[in-house]
Amino acid sequence: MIPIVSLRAVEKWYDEGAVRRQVLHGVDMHIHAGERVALVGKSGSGKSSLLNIISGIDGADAGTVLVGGHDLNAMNETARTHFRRTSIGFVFQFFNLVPTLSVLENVLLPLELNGIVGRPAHDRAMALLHDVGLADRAGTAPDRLSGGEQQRVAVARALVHQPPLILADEPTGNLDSDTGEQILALLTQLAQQRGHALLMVTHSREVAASADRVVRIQAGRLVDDDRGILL
Amino acid sequence: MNPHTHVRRAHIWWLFAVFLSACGVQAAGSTAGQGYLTVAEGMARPATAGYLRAEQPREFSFPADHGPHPDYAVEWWYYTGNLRDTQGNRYGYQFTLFRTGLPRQSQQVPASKWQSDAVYMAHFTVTDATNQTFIARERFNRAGLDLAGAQAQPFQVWMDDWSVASSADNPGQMRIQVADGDVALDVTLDARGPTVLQGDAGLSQKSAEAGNASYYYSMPRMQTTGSLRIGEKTIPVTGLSWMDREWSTSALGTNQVGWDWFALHLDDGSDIMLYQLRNRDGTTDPFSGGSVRNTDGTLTTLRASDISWEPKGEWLSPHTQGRYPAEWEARIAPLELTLAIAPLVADQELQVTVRYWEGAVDVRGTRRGVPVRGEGYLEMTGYADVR
Amino acid sequence: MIPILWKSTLRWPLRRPWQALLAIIGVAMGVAVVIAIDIANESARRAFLASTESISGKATDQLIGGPEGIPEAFFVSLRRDAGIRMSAPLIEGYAITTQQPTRTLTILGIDPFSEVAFRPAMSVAGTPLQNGMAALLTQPDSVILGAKTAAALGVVPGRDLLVRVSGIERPMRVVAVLNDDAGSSSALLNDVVLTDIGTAQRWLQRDGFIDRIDVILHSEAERAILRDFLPTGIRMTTPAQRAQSTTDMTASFEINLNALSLLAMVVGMFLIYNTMTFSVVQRRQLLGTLRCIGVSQREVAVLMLVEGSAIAIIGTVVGLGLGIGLAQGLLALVARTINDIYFVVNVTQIHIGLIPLLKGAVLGIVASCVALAIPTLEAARTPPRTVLRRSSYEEQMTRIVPYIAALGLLGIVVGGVVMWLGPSIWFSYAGLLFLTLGAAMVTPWTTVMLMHALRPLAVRFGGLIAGMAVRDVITSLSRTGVAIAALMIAVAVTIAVGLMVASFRVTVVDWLTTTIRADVFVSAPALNANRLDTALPAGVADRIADLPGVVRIRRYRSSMLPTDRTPVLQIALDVTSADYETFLWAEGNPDQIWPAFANDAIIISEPLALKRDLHVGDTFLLQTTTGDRLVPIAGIFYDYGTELGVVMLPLDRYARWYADDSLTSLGVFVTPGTDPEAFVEAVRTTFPNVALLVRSNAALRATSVEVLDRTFAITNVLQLLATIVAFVGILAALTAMQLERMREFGMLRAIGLDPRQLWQLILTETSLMGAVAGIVAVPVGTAMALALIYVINRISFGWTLQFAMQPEIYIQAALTAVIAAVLAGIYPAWRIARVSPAVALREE
Repeated sequence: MIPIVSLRAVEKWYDEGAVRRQVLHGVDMHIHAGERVALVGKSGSGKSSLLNIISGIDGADAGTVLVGGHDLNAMNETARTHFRRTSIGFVFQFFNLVPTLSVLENVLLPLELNGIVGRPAHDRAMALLHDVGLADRAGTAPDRLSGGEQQRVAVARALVHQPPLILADEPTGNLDSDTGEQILALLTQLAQQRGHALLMVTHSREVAASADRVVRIQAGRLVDDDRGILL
Repeated sequence: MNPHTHVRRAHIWWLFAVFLSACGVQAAGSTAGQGYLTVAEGMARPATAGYLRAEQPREFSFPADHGPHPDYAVEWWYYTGNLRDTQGNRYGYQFTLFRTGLPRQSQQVPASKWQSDAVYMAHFTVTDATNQTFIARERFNRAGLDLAGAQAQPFQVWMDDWSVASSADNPGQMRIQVADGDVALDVTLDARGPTVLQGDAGLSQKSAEAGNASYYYSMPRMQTTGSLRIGEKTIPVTGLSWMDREWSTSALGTNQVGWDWFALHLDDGSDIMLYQLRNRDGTTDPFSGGSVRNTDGTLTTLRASDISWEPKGEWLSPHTQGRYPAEWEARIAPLELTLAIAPLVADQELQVTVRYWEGAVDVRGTRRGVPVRGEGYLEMTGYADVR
Repeated sequence: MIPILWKSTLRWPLRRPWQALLAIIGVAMGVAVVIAIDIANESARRAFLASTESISGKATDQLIGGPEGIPEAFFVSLRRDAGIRMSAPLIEGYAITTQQPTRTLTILGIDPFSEVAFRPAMSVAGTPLQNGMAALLTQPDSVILGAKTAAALGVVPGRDLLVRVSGIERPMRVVAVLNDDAGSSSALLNDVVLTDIGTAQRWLQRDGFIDRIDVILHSEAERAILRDFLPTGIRMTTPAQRAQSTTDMTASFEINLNALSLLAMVVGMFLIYNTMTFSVVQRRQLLGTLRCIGVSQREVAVLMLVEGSAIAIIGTVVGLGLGIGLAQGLLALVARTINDIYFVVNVTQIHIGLIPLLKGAVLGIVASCVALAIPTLEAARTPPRTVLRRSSYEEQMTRIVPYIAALGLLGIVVGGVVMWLGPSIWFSYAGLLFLTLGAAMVTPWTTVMLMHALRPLAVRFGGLIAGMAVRDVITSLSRTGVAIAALMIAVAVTIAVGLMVASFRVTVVDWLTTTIRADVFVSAPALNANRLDTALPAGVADRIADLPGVVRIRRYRSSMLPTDRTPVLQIALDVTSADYETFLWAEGNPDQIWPAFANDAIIISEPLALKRDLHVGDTFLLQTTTGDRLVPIAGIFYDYGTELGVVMLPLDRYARWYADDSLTSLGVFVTPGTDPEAFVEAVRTTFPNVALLVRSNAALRATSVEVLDRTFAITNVLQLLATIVAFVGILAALTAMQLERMREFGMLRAIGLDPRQLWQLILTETSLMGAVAGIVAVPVGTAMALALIYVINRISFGWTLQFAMQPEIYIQAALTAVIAAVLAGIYPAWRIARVSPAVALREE
């Protein structure tokens, strides 16, 4: 089976003035369809860099990055944007809903970007809103929602265009623990149901616990980590 | 001689004079703006204060009296004629100069040479019978700065570069020189026969009122030679002209709506003048009449009852929508003369400030059963502006 | 249906309406000033053209004579000898009604009999009876007015209109009123008094002369025939040529107004740039999110452009409306200046042409798009990972500030080079624009430098809050920089225009002192300050010379001299060795100039020499009454009387060349013991019935300076408008910036700052910004002033001005900057101080 995400010997440097700082050292990583992976590590360990590289937001300086069969290193910015549009669903720590759009419109946006409009788009978005329990708030502005509700919308938005890979950056980081658990359950459950691969970047023990596999990153290197061994 | 023979020229002058003097103080828009004068407007009476009146017969003296008479309010020099070229093509012309004294001002303002005591109006028409065309031109000028004027010796009346003049050594010969763009006339006129003093030895009474008269003389038959230019073509011409001269300071009655005037040269050498005054009610005014200068030089005066005028047909003016008689038949009972008078060109209506019809005509008829032929000028007024 | 992606952006301004509104105001004001100036200029020009065109009627050609006009006898000869019937003589003059002294009436002396082919409305033949035209010939002092003019003046036929003509008050008898509802006669009769040419001659003291003869010619052949007929001294021209050469006189004036209006547009551009930059900065989170979920750079750019264009279009449309209103206000100022300096034009109505509106619209949208370019690029380049905080952007901003400054320096250098080497006035203005934009780009860097320098001082004297204020100016540089730059430009313009006007004034006052030496000046009353070409009545000079106390008299004959280009002022005068020192020479050696001048040469003024690239030794073509003459130029003198240029020649030579021995003004030198004001009275009592303008030296100088000041009224208005635009800009910037920091202020309140301290913080911040703008504006304004004085004035008007340094102008400008900034800080401070800490924290 071909993995959704396949990283080989990925390296990343940042130039900070005269200093060149290496943030990723030969990272190898594979995520398969339907797999739920938690990426854990301290601040500055390279979590975000890795996430950026997997999502095509940033390029790797060395190694190969294959996501959903696309060689991201070989793609230009436009192609990567297109790749994100079709192949990635994002869930952010601060929800990052579009404040000028209603709940429904926020969920419709990825569909529109993928060329799905009208009735089919609407039905799909509503179905998903129903799944996250917010069908009755479809017309509401995001800033009228609680944090948890906003993150549900974000989950719906991440899943609606059925990307093979969902990336979640501290999805519960800005929520109280109860709400965070609910969101986490929703996210993992929906991802599994729909067969999406899910990569969650997190500090959270609970989040890590909900994953099939935990990958720990330390000073830019992946460290093997058995399930259950703590952060 | 009928005292009213002058009347045919008068109305045109009146329209002009009234125009100049009666238009003092009026607000805009009091009548609909329409660019031409009607006879009715012309009936108003101009101011005549400060001018002499023609009250008694005078001693005429030529060439002095060919010149201007500035003490009288109005004066005109009137020339019409029928001409032929070497091929026999027929032409007609009219050249008229009117002088009108302006109301004499009580206060004298410092002089500018532009300030004038009189205004001149000139009409010039040419009829081309062969090509059935008619051209009419009009000019106005103030007398100031010698832009227009008249003088006796040597005789000259002019408007810009239009003029009629005599040389000092031959006062009986007059030369008309008129050019206006594409049309020009340069002819010399020699009087045949004596000068006719109209009315009572040249005093022509208009009505019973004293002073309502003018001084009036005519040179009815003037041998004419010269050239006519129409467009690019200059044509040598010969023919006969008729001159009328009149000056006065008086007003007209208000009952007439128009005139029909005939000045005819017959082949037998007689010169006939007929006029019909048409009243508002459609009747012929009893002051209508005419005169005949016979071949032997005698003058026969005609009264209204001596003449019958019969219009024949109708000509609708495309310019003014006026309905004019197309032709005339005149019968002069005392002379057993019947004349059919037909225009050389139907449309000889002058499109100028005062609208009227004046043009060359052809005459055929019989005198006591003997056929006669002739030519002349016909003037018809009051058709275009009766509404 | 609008795509959801579009909605996400288009709804943004609705969430921050005040910000969008301020941007709209910025664009609108820029556009408004530009089109207002355009419309005012155009209206004045059109009014002039319409009146000359309608007065010219159907004339194809015009005959004009020398300074005195055409002898009337020539007209008779034209009619009788040349047979040109299609000719109409004309005298034009001006009158002022006593009840409405600001209303200038054009006296049109006509020959009604000649008018039918030219101006049918004014002719005797072929018009309605009721127009009363013939009464002009028969009633003394009679006139005819158009209905609109009559209504405006409140006269009816039969009534007298009291007017002042050539300094004499006299009644005009209105004999008729012409209906001028429709058509061409409407323009023809607008503020026109029709009278007979004879009456006009008398009123305007033109005995024996007419101003011109209109003719209608149908072919070149006719034209050639007429040309052959013309005697020396009478020339043929066309109405269009005459009108053109007259309106050309105002070209420099119009260009300068246009340039000033463009300045308002530049400041407006800063505003839209500012607003869009804010809106990008504020949206970095949103844009980052969009980029993450797969919106491409191109799509982001399009979104921003659409939003910016919407603001630009709304602003432009509003600006068009505002501009039309503003034009109405500016029109009076423009018209007054034209009347003071160039020619008589009566204009009360604005003419809204399509071209100025289109130009304004295009300029507004193009300028907005240019201003949008950088923020749009910035938005498109928002990295998707910027789901982080703004600080990164500010850090980046601080990093690139030196590069922007370097680019700005380059702009300044390029601007300077373009200005000095540029071949035309437009290059000079382009150079000035570069210089201005360059200076604006240097401003953020200068701000940082100044703030760093200020910080220790601020902390020491203003405490922690002042220190915070200083730091905030730097950390919010992405917003403060542009606002400071915009304010700086407005203040710099204030300084530049102030210095230029001051320099002008100083120069002119100096020049007046040098040139105006006689104790008393006598001239015929003229309608306008600069039109001294009305001839004095004969004999006045001799009688004044005989008055007790007179040492000597200097005689002048001024006239407008037509040339192959714009007309110039020709002054024939007495020059004795005593008068030599009244000339300041730009070129030529006085030792050689005066002998040549006495012999066969002329001297010309500096503007004329500069505009036509003339030098000593060149020749100048004088179209004299006795024929065309190529006359050598002996010297070039400084002159600030008229930008049209002056040609001077000795009076006796003028009399010969122009067959004209009339005079237009006299300079009278009196004995030392004689009081000039008393002498003025003596002259007046000597000529009780002659209209004379008698002024002492002091009075004449005062009048000249007054006219000069009037000329700059419109400059000051435009400068004020630019300042207002800048003020709106800084208000917008500060409001946006401060309101956005609600959270931060809430936090400050939470940790214990009281509202008064917040006020202090914010006002310190804004006054610091104002101070920076003021400080930077000093060198920039000075540079702009130098450019205006030494480059632009010289190229467009031909004047060499002395630079006058006036410290109060700087102080005033700096104060303006600080006060504007503090005022702009009041509203945000007020809002922020009212916010409770809790609400502030909950925000976002």
